[in-house]
Amino acid sequence: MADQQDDGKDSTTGDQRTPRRLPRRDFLDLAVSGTVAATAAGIVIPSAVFVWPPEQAERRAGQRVKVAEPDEIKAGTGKAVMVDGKPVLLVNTGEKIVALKAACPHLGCVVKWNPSANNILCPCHGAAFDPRGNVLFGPSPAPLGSLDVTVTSDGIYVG
Amino acid sequence: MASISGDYIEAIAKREGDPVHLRAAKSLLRWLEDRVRLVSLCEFLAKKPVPHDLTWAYTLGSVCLFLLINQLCTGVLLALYYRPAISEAYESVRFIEEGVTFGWLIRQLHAWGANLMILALCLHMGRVFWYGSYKKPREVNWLLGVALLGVTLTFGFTGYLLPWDQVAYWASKVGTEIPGSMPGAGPVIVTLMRGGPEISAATIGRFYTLHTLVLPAILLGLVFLHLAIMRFHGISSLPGKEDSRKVPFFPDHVLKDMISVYVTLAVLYALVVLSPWKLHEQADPLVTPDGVKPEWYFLWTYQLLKYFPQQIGPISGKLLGILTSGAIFGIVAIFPFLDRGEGRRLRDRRVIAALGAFILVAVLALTVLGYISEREFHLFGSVYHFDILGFPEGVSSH
Repeated sequence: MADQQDDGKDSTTGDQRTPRRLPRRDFLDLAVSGTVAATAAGIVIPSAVFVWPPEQAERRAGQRVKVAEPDEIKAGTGKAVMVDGKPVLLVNTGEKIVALKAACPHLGCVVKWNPSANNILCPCHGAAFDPRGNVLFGPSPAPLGSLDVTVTSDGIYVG
Repeated sequence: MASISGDYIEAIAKREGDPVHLRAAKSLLRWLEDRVRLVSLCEFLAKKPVPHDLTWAYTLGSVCLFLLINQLCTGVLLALYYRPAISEAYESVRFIEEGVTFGWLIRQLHAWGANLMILALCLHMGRVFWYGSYKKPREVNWLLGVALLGVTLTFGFTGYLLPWDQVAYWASKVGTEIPGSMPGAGPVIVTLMRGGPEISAATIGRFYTLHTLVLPAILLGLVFLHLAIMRFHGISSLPGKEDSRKVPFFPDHVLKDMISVYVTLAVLYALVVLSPWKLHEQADPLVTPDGVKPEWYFLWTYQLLKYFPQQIGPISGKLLGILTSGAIFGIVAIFPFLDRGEGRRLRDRRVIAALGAFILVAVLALTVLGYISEREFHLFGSVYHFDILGFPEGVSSH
């Protein structure tokens, strides 16, 4: 039996084709480090995933939400409602009812219908939008998004 | 100066003629000394050598510590009645204010204490900067101090939402919206902060957990390190007086600290009684009140964002504003590494003194502009209007 040096090389023959065996100490180092790393990962990863909020159940596409009665929003007026936890502004332009995402794209404040100027104003920093949600002036970087509206005999539906 | 474990150990030695209660107390202290070296530790802390000529500005650190203890104690008391759920939070705060004996006092001490603590921290840091006390070997303690300021500001931010009134809700909505402009990580940060895309029940749970569990643990750890390092190095002397005579911390400097603490307590109670914090109407996610603004300690960064255009080339103006605010904080953090000279007097470090003064003036100016923006002030029969940038936009009569 050839003598084995600690580094696993066959010392008697010096055969270079003999694969280098991992010394026992190095193996144990790796095993312990790997176990500690796996344990840490087993604690950190589930904790990190836990912190990320779960997805809320989304409405199915085409599923509508009733937000107001048929004649509730008079011409030239607006009303803010919550749809799926987000503010939506309903505006009756006189020709039709539009639904716009009511969170100002600037910093998230809820915009209001301004009947005197027939536009939509953000109370935080004065951004203004037309009834279709396009930016008129102010610091908003983007227009207000629009949502589908359906008006039926038993209500106003969004979505 | 007497050696450690000298005077106090001698003081607890039993003597003939000691009354019974004194002998019992001394026995207890000896028992504790033999097992955990309590008396030696107290003596070590009390005998800390401090320069004899420290100014009153050196008591600001103790004022900060006192206000921290105030926040911890009043916070624990408030937690006995507060309910961290959106259907109950507002009513629980109203109950504290109106239904609990001295509830109004505890809540006001907590609300005003938070503001005074941030002010005291800023003054304390200003004192350290003024005297160059952050220089070698105290750079790490300066960094710990900056971290403590950051944690304290986070305390203010998370605690602000908890009453769930209109001001709390919308200030938090705007405050959590701001990081969203950062590319890539922005929406992730907003979702993590809010527990979802919008401020909701998940947000109040997260903010409450941070405010009452996570941040106190971090803060106490940082404070312990800060005080331990301070004790290790000793208090820095006044610039140019490094060889001044030393006196023991107790009772010489403790007396000064106690006076400052009592003055702070008096100011705190005066504010509580004369200008109590109001509980506004309950939060309504559909109605943004006019002129919503963050608290005064965030006004400077809020106002700074307004001066950046929407886009500067390919970069969002809001993002650049956030980065600028962060850069100011970062520059303050690395003051010890920018100020490499030996001298601690201001005249020996004019450049860094000018930089510090510039930052101070800029932050104060932005805070004032943030306060007066979009407001009108009635003075001497005229009404002065200020626009969104804080600039005067007109004068009208009453």
